[in-house]
Amino acid sequence: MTLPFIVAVTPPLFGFIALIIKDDRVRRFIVITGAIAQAALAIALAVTSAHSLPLRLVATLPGLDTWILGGELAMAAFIAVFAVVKRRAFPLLLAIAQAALALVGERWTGGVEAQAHFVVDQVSLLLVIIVGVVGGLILVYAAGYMKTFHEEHAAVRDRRRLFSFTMLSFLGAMYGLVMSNDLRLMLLFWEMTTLASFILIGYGGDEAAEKSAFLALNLNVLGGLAFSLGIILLAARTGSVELDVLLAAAKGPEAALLAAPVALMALAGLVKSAQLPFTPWLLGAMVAPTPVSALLHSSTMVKAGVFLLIRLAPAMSGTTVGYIVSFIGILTFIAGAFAAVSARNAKRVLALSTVSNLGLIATCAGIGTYELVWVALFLVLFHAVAKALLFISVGTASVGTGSLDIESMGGLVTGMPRITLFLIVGISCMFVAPFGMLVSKWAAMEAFMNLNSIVSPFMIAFLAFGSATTVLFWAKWMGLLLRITDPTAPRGLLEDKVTRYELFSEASLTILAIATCVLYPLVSKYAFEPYLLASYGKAFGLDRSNMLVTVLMVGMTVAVPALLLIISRRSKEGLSTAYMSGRVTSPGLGFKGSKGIELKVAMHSYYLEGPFGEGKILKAGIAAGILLTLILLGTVAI
Amino acid sequence: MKGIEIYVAIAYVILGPIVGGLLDGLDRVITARLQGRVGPPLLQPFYDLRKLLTRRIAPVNSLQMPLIASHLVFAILTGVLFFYGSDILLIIFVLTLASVFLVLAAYSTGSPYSTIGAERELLLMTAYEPMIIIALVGLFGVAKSFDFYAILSSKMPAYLYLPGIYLGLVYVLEMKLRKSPFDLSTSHHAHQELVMGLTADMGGPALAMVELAHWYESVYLFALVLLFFSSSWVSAILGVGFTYLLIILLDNATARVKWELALSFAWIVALVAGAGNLIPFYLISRGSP
Repeated sequence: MTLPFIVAVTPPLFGFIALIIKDDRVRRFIVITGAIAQAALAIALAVTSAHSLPLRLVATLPGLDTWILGGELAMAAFIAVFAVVKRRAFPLLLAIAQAALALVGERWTGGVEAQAHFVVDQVSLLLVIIVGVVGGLILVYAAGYMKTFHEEHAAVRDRRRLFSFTMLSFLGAMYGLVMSNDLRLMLLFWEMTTLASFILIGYGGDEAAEKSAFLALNLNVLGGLAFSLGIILLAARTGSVELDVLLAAAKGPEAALLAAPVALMALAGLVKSAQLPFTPWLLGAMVAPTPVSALLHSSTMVKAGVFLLIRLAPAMSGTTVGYIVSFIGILTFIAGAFAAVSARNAKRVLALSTVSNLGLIATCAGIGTYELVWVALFLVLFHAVAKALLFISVGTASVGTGSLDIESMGGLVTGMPRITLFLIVGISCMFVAPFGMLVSKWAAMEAFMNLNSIVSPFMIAFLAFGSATTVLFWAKWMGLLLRITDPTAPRGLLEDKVTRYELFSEASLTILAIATCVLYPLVSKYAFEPYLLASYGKAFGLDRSNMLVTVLMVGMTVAVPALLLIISRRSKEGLSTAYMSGRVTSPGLGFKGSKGIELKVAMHSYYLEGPFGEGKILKAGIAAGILLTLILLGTVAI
Repeated sequence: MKGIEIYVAIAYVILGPIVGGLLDGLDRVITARLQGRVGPPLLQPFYDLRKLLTRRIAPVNSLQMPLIASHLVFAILTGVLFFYGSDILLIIFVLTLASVFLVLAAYSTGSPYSTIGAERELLLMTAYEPMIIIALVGLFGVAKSFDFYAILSSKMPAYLYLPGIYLGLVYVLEMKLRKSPFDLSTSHHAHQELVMGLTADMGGPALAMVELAHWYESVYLFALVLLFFSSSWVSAILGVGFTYLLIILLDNATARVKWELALSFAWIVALVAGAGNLIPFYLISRGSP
């Protein structure tokens, strides 16, 4: 029993206990204990193994091949049963194809002996920490949120036991995935995350939930088929199924043989990370309860997709496959950012922003130089924390305002001051200097400039336009939150339904979000730079003085407004009323209309449907994405 | 540690508003002459500022003043970092942060005039940012550095290599300096549309802070222009002077545009003049290290 193994099995173990306990309060205790325990174990693994990376582990289970095959077939059978029950033909076909591929592939992959089934390095640990801590906090949040959710949505069948089990198992599958070196094992965990997300997206049980769940299932099983095919090709051509062997061989004379397997696996990564044209599954997934969205977007599922792309980066760098992946990535980056301008639903804005940021990660991984991989790793970290915070805070806000419409969050600072603070920190982390995502974008621009490649100026131009557009929708949202229509109104009236579990998770993630922006130079020095040195022979970090500037600026950006706010509270100057053409009647922005009738101001933000209409942008993006995917598949055929 | 740069940065904090205010005053004198008026004295902006500062503070809510003060602090910080020789690409993003504070201050008032002004300011930020980033990347391509002093002392006639980017930058500076035809988020004239929009609900010391921040900003924006003409003293004076006059001329010769036009034209300019200049320049200079 080694620590990595314990880390991976702890969440599902607690999941099983949660599955059999009927009493809500006892189960909540079990889930929260499990969440904290697995987070602690994840941190313990990182701390204890930091000096001896990479850890190489061999599974001693006899007949491992048979177990993997059994697992694959069991999951295919599970999908088949669901497809038959729900009378859906396509998933059934996919399940049959998956089973057939697993059985046929056995001929090539069956007898292969792996040197190391699991390899734990800095990148694995980054994901382990994200899954453990961010995932754990989302579970704590869910303990409070799901109670309120079922009180508010009486029509939804209460299946919280299954919910807790699936959420916890999801984390376990992620642990397995990010530590796997044997690709057959990685595929097994890959399929598990697909199934878990299928169950969670469909939790609502209504038609929309079912449709979205099957869309996610179909696309991701399709991606899994590509993954499976890639492994078979790899085994047939090189006689190995190990990731580190593949990456080592990619630098040698056999590189040309690896192009096709790498392309197929990258395709699986693109599907899972919701890149164009596969984006719709993630956008559909927002029908799920908020904790599910938070988990899918921050620490699991989509992060598994970009994790695989980052893993494959050394093999993709400089190849046709790599360039195609990066084009798909930058296309998704810009389409996601543009489409988010016209989105009104808060979860949809968050989803489109996720898609956009994942696109940037895919771009970096596809080009795959050590500098861009550094950027990609930081994007993964910053995005996970900030997006988890945003999703769960939006969930809480929507319970208070009764709507997911951004417009209804106008003036939230009065009704929900604490939640507003969490949202403001989360939004800041997404788009403005000196916070994480923008520092990463800035580093990406500098990395592209140092790249000295034909694609550099194009990528920089795309980055410039995409990055400028994010200002538009994030700052607008922030402004709406801070709108004060009536300064005399009592504060915090909408916060009475907020549970302490939610507040705990949100406050923790807020602190974490700021902490990552302050401590990132240390993460770079002790985790990412050693990793890059080991796998690329070169280390990269931003210029130390620049990192120092950003860290000092984080301090200022937090301290200056806070300090000024405290000073202005002290001074007891009188408030004046907002300018209303001299016809103000009441503090709540009432004004005298014609005939002296009092009216209330009604305001509506712009969504710029004309230039940034979501529908047409996604349609064009999907068309371009299909074209690029076909070219990617073309490289496999050749 | 740095040497002379620290003193330049300190000098900027002290002298910045004087230079910025004089640039503003001169602008008003030239504008008056262009319109056949006598116009105000050169020091009028300073008289205006003094008067604003004597007024009572009357914020609309408790968030407004802290946000406006933050805007001023970060506008100054942007310039300090600029003249300290930090990475100018990073600095442009800090400039965005400063602008975001101002926009939030306007949003917080809840007034429809301020809100529309804030939204339009966001649109303008989206419109000008790509062009500014492309301009900085172009300058990096010429001087192989993001340090203000390194670019300055490289003595490269950047305007010869990057004519399109220079013109594009002038185009978006009209927005950043709140000049016509892009003065749609707030203008100097309260009787025009939106009753000053972004700053509609800012009076007295609040407005003084916004004005001061604007002066600070204009100093390093013109320092940015200087980088295109750093090959000699003569070209520096002629280049910056020409740009300054060109911006005033455009301000007087154009009518305010709608936001759709402002956004789409700025992006077209950034694509055609900016990227259209950057990409060939990059590809040609790639061969010679």
